[in-house]
Amino acid sequence: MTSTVFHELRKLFFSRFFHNESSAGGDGLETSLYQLLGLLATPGILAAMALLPTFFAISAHARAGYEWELRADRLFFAAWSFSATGFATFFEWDMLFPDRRDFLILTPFPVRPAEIFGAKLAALGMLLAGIVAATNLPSALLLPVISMGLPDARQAGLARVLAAQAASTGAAALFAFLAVAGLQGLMVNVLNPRLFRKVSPAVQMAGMSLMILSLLLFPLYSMMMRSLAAQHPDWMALFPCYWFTGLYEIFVPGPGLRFRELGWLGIRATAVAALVFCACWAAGFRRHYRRTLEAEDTAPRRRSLFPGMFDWMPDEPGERGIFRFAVRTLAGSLKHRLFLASYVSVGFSFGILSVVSLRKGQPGISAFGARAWPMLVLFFVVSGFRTAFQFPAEPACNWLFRICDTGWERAAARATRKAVLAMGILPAVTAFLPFEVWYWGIGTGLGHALFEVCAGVLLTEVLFWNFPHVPFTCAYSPGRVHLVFLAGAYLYGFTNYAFRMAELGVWLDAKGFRMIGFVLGSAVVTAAWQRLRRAGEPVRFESARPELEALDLS
Amino acid sequence: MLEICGLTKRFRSLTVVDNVSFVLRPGEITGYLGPNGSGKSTTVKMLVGLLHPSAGRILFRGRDIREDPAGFKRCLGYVPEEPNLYSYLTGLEYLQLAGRLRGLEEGGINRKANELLELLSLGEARWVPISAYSKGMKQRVLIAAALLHDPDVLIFDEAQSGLDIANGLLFRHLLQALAARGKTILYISHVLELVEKVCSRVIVIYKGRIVADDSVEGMRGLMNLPSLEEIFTQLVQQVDMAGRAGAISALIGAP
Repeated sequence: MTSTVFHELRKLFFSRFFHNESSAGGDGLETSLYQLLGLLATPGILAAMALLPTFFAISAHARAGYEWELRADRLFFAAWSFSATGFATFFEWDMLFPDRRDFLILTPFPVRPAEIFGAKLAALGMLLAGIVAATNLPSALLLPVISMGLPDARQAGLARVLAAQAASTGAAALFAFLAVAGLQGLMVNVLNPRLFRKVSPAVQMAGMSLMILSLLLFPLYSMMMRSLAAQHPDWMALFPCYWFTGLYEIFVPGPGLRFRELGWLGIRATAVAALVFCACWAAGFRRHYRRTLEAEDTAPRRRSLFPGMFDWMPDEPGERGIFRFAVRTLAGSLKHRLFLASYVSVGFSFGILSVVSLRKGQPGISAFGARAWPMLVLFFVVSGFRTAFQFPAEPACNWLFRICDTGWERAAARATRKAVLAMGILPAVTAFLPFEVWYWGIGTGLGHALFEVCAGVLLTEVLFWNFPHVPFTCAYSPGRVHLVFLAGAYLYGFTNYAFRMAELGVWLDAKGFRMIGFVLGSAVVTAAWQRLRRAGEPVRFESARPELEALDLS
Repeated sequence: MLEICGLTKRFRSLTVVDNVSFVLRPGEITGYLGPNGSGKSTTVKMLVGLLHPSAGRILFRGRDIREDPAGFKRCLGYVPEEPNLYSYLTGLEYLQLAGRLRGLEEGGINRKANELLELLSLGEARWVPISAYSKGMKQRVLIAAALLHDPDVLIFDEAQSGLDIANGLLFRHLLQALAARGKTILYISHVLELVEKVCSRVIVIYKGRIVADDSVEGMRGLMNLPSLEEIFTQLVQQVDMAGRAGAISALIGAP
């Protein structure tokens, strides 16, 4: 293997992690890389700095049970390392092996498959090292230094604490990476190509969602940690974040043996993940190479399980065209589905935090939280669609809509809202229905579902008030000022919307006629809104003022 | 000399290329013709190593290319049908990548790449990402990458697709100049006039099988037809195209 060829291939594969087909030129590799590294490093630094007052207070006066507070703090760093690395690896899921484009371009060159294999492995190693360092290095250096005033850290010494922190967070990241990459290797070996292509996007979406859940549910499992350690339930050993918190205590012992046992379990799990990765990734590579090139491009797409289920929703031909286009684009575009899955996972996590109440470390269900949970998720679903519709699927192909545009702003608005209802609100409410029926009973549960549909439709009208676009056809990103404003509005919006709507729901539950009145009122308001919507603004296919946005003047 | 012996490709039960044999000689431009889906690109993909043949052999200078695939690829230049390129690279960066993967000297790569880009009217666009290139510009980058290492065998799969008139003319002269330097050229195209003008020999494939392999003159004489278009229509198109066009016209006028 010549070093030039290996170096070129490694560089090429590494750059491909940051440039996929959806990014068309623009920023260079370095910019993307630094942005990613900065994004990964910031939470660790901020968390370490936020712990300073607590550490100083404990250094001055070691209060009772402080060891558990410190353990929860260490759990955060392990959880962040595990979740961020896992999320990044799932995000790069399609790039873990060389893809079809790589093989089509590289195969006619005098490059052996072994060289491609070695270079790809090296690029993966560089990616892993970058993620691990960015996620953990600042906190791994900062935290031991600021914790030297603590009694147990003083006793252990700086070197030991540094090693403990680095081992705990580094192993969490390594396990996440190896487990995800090993899982793909296993799937490549076990599944036939057709099944792999079918299952792979679902696994990627589920994996990214799980990683978001594992990070955002940190407050919950952090608060449960002490009571779980006392009860020793077997299922505690299923949470990787606990393992790597325990790994710290192999170096610097804390109270109780339970966490050290979990630490050893973490080491064994990482070793198993490494073995699976080595065996399956290497074996899968050759298989992947052959079948990627020989894959049938022209296999007909399978028909939907429910063909035309929502075809009754749009009325006019233009509306029907936009509606079907939005539905088919979302069904066929993995990047849009991944984006929505991440968005919904955030809402789902906040929902779980609101619905689970802890009494003396024991989890229970809060009745008000149970009412707010679907509303929280609905907020993220509708706002997620609002944002996803603004990412163009194939921007160069929007000429079809442009040459056919004959003043159909009304059709675009109606089709967009119906698409949100069909693809977002109805599936979300249906997914919650079993929980609603189980928790509230069948009558009340069905009433809640109806209420949620109405609330979702009203929310869609509000969030899509100023949306003069055909979904997925216009690259329109708000300026920086807008983004800050939007972030604040969203934070205020989702908390207020969810909890105020939950209160309204409780009030409506008290009397049956109130619910009927709300449903009828919603229908009247929505119909009136549709009529009153200003028809003046035409459908836009380009950014409103590109020259101003380019100069960041908006 | 490149010999293709009994080349066959099956996808499950479907035979796409069926027992295809022909010889490509140095200094000769061989046209490879056939309607869409006849097996042309599949044959080429087997030649360049993108697909493994189900049966048959490819011999280069008398040796099976499977014995030394990298050695064969060092002598091969290929312009694919689809402009598969890393679109975030600039034209120059792509040529540098191609040169390095072919093990060329760094100084030579930069000099040749820059000069090729200039000659192919891409000098000003050399630092622009390929994502911003037109179809014809991408095609010219692929042509430059195929020529960078001065290969002995050249395979052009619809290489003139998207080229403007001037660059189309340049490409035609380039084919002839390369043949004059003794290069072995396989040229796939649907532009029959161009094939007729530049190719010394024409192979016609239909439904995976070779139905004709002769010089253009030889075919004209054999089939007693004046042009390659008529020969091609006679060999592979059994449908009444004028009748079909009339049916389309009638259909779009219907309610």
